[in-house]
Amino acid sequence: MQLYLPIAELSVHILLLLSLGGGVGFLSGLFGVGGGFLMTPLLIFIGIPPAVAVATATTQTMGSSFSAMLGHMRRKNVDFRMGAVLLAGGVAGSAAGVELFRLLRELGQVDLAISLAYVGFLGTIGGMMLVESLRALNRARRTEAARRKLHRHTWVHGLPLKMRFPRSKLYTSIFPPLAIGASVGLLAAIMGVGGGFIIVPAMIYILGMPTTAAIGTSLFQIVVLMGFTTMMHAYQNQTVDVVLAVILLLGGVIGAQYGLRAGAKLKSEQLRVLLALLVLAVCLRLAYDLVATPDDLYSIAPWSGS
Amino acid sequence: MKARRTLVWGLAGLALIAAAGPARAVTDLASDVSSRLIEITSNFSGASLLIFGYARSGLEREGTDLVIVIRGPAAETTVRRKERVAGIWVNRSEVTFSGVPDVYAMASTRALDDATRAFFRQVHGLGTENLRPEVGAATEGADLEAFRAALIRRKMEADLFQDRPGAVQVVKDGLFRAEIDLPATVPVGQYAVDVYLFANGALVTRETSYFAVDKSGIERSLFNLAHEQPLLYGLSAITLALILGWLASALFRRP
Repeated sequence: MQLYLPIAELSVHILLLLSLGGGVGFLSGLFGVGGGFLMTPLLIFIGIPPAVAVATATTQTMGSSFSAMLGHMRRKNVDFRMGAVLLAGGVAGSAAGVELFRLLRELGQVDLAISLAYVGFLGTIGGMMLVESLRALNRARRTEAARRKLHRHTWVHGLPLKMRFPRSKLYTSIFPPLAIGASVGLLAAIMGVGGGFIIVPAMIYILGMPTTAAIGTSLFQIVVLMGFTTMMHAYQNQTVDVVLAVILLLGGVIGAQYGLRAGAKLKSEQLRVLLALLVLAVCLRLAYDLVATPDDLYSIAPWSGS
Repeated sequence: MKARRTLVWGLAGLALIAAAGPARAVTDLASDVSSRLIEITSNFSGASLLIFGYARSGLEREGTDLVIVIRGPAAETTVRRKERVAGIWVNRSEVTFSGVPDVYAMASTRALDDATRAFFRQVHGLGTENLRPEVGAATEGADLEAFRAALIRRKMEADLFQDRPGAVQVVKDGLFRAEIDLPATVPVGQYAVDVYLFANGALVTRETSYFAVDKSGIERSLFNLAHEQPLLYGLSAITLALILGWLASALFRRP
């Protein structure tokens, strides 16, 4: 059955959308990521205008992250105080990002910006994850890892305006979380991603938070940030397609549950290797499109004149 | 007195119409479209439009031809050209055309070159190759002709522009019909259907009818809400996403 999307202004088969949501949901359940970084390129690939794809993936990410956050809240993995500091930075970054997005759209370079941002970030994160997880896999095979300290203190913790975060077992300056929040907010607006794949490693490796608290807290900040970004896109660009978001969510939440079950059967290092390969595959695909000679050099700008 | 004068004028008018009748009959052309309003609903996947009509002079005679043109709402359209910069393809130059119909479909009884003289094709813009959109803003040094060709090519690939010689069928005597499929991406707005009657390549007369494409039902409401009440729309989208997320978490919660 074809379904007409009122904001994207085109018809897509409903099963295609459901399976897209389900597939990405499965992977996000499997790997514990929001899946926005997969959803946006896939939506663009099936013909949704990039601006609508980015804005709608934002809404969809918020819904699926909220679902996951509720689970983590029950296990007390959400550090609301840390979340609030991240968000203070995130909201500023997101507002700047939506404005930048609008500017790029006027310049006709929004597709390029989205693709470049994706290739850059997915390439970096995917590469780092692959190296790290392969090492971890090797280590696990050889010996039990030596007991580590809670976290190492570096100069970033020593900046002024220190604050205690009991749930994360941290005492740190608020500037590093503010900066992390702001950069993720900017990415969220331009790429339609929650930024979980960036903020979780940043919280673990830069701030030194425990992994479970990092995931729970990142989900909390993603929900609020995505809500804010959805509002900004809806208000400034009118690019949020609510019909598309609902169908993707329906498929996504079901897929995520199956992903969770499948994930329980795999080792965490194996999961990380697979996720890294997936991230790199998406990155290569987008990079190929940037470099390969297009079939037609000319294109008609979407939504001209209105 | 007044009533009488009205009567006289009325009679005179009737006589005029009666006199004009036979004179017009030679070239009389009537046409209509199957639908005055194409509604975009949630399962919209394009529309098939039937254009039908009657030419009193008959259509079987050699050299009698019909050309039908559907034109959608006109808008400014920007065409961009990619160039390779440091190994990456980037939009570098652009040309904005004005007065480009969003949708353009031509159907005719025969190939346009056989049915019509070049003069009429150019004056009335018959066939996509005779579309001459005005150039607005353009990047310096852009090859305007290449951009114009690209505009038409890309529109044709999307089925928004169509050339369908031979698509007008003569049913019998002066009756004709043509079916034109509009893709799911048709923009909303007012559309005009022009039927041109040609005799030996020269334009005899033209008849115009209109139809509209509009979103209807929930699609219309959502679109309006998004544009007129963006705050409310954004809040609803967020609420909906939160409810779905909560439902999923509640439904799949392990006992």
